[in-house]
Amino acid sequence: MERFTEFWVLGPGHRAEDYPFVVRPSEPQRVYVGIRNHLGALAYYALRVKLRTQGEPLPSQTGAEPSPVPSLYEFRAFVAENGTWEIPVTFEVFDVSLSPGTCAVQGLRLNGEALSVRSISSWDIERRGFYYELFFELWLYNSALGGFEYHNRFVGLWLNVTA
Amino acid sequence: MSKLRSLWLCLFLSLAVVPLGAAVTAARSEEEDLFARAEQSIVSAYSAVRCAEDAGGADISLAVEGLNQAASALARARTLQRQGRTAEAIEAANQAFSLSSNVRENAYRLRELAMSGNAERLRLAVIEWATSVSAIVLLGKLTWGRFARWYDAQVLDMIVVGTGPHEP
Repeated sequence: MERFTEFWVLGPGHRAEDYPFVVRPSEPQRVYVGIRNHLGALAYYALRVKLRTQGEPLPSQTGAEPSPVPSLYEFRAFVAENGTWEIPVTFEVFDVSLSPGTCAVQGLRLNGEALSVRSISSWDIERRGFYYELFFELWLYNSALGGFEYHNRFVGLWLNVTA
Repeated sequence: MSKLRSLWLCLFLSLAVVPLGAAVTAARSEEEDLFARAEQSIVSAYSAVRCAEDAGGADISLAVEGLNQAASALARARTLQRQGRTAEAIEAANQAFSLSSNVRENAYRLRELAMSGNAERLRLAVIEWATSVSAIVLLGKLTWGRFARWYDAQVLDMIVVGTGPHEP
């Protein structure tokens, strides 16, 4: 039997639609992030929340390497075999300064907690916007290593930050 | 005179600030130690629950709930620490430690229960197997005895009936 973990992000209506896209400063958005464990035993997961611009790298799926972008926040969850864990994630950007050609996001509020970001995005001429990707990396506790290791799964949302 | 006074004031302030700084550093280190202990306790409780699960037959649902409560308490502690609410952060970290310690203790009991349950099940299975084998052997022996008697009777009858008409 194949052993794996299901990992998803759902929109505010708890469906795979209406994902937040255009975001304005201090305007809260909601998504749901969930895990289903098919690893054959109780598992200890860490969910690392990261924000990147288009130029910053995503996790490498071939090399099973996480993104080098620093983690802003971490959720932890224990999920029994065939069990499900899901959490509502409310986020908003704040301290956003827009100037011709660049957008600087200084902060992200995640489930009510203000986090320092300092991320600068350049204007995308083709797609006409300042794009950021909010993504969640899945990490799994490895008892042999005595720590978490990247579980080679991530889900993300593209955000167009405007004034 | 005024320079000398300033010098004394600076010296006094430095001497006052050094222990204060040391106290702040010690408090932070103590906080970090507490967080590390809570984290270690959660990991140790997780290992204990995995052992109980591996023993087979243990219901670990309450233990998983307890582990998640401990993890939430530790996450809350870290959030409070970032917000500078040290006393509340320490309280939450202590709660995480206490919750995970309870989970670990219960997991050991669950494992023992599961193992004694398994031993009991094994004992019952062996008794069941031995009873079945004995019953089969006994029934077989009885059936064979009856059959042998019946067969002997049949053979003897055949001899008597078969030899009758050819007698001179």
